[in-house]
Amino acid sequence: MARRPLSDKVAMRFTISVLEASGLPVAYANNLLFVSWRRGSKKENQGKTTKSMCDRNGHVSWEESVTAEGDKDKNSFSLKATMTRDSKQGKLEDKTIAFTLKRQAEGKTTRLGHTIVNLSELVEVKDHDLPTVTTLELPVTTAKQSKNDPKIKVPRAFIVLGALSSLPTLAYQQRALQVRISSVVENEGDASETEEGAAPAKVLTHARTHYNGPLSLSWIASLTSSRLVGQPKHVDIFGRPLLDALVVDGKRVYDVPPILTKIAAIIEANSLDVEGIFRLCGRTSEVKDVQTAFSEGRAEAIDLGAVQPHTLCSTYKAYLRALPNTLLPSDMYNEFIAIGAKCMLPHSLTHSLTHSLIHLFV
Amino acid sequence: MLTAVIVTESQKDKPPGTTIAPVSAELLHELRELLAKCPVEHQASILHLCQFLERVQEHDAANKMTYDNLAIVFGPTILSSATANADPFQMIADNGMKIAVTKLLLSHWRDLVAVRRTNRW
Repeated sequence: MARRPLSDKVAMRFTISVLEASGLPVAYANNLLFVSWRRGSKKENQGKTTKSMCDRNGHVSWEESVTAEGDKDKNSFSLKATMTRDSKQGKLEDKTIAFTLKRQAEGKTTRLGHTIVNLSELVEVKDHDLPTVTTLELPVTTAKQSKNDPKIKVPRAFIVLGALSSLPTLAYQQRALQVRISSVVENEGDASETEEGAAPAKVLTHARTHYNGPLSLSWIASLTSSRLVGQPKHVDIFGRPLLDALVVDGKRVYDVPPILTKIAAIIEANSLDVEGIFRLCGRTSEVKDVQTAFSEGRAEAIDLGAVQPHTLCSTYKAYLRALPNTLLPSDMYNEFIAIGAKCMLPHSLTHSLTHSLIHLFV
Repeated sequence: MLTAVIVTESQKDKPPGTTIAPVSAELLHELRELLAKCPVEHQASILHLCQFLERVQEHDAANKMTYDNLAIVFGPTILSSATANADPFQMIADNGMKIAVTKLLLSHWRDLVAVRRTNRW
């Protein structure tokens, strides 16, 4: 039997316009704000809008501002991306674009917040031949101002983006998308421009995702994960979704959580012959230490090879157990259990035996 | 008569607690389809786990970790119900099935999990 290709790649062009942001704090009134965007690490895949004044209602619009021909700051931009389609699932794999809201004041640029949009979802909102306008509200992570600034509480802020995606191989398919950024999560630490995208952040409040418009349920699910894509470098990965461990600074870096691959490599190198490996437990306090080291991104600093193998294996299992959606996903729990039941039930035995008997006689 | 003979023959070397049924092609197919429906990031980690535990199992003479033992350890770890307050009796009943499906996955992963191209950028 011929094997189907596992994935195929489609080059796509996305046209995205940054329209407006609102719900911003009063403190930003009369400030020049702009949005910068970044997709991956390539230099051509980033840019920023023109600077626009925030009004006293915390609203800023980029629509009206005129962009000079050849100006490198553009409120609408077009972006090429190669999307990979998993033909088994028929789904496009995630590709994200990060938007950062910034303020320019006194010659200094400050990050105010950011959000992430999953490009594959722009393509996958299905079944509308006419361009549709969709409003999405995405949570934004705001950066706290430098120390002398008052701590700014933002009840609700959003950016509206208009986006069109076109699939060159299909006849004129396009849709408009508006993305709003809402529900603000506060960052800790100074977030000045010096280190792009590297500001350490701590999630203080849980962001809510709202949407309206003709969207499928899978879109909501993916919105939730796009939000998670934006997690900064070293967050506690225990108890967080699998995707969190794969993403660094909004970019998907790993296929498998490093905590799993690192422990597996050390066990394979040193401890495959240890009796009861994975069955026996490590000392709780040591497991805690290793967990903390991974959570705080200090795993490189400690010599994992010197850690007791049972402790490493317990950490490995603890990570898997703590996943909010287990490795075999919880929403398919009943289906997996049903297969387990068929492994054990006599009827599947008799069934396959009947088959063998038929083969015997035919 | 003949049925009884076949059961004894095929099962006699296996320790108690293993799955009784010989693995049917249909069952493998069913599990393969189900795994293909998992989110891609889960698939990649499932593949990693299967490859890793295969290496562990290859050393079972020394470490005593057969697929049966590994399934007992990992079954409840990699599959749990989304419902928080599930009926405890049901949970115990489910446990056996978790172990059974985990063993099927671990011992037949080469037939079940697609080795995907890496997806890094």
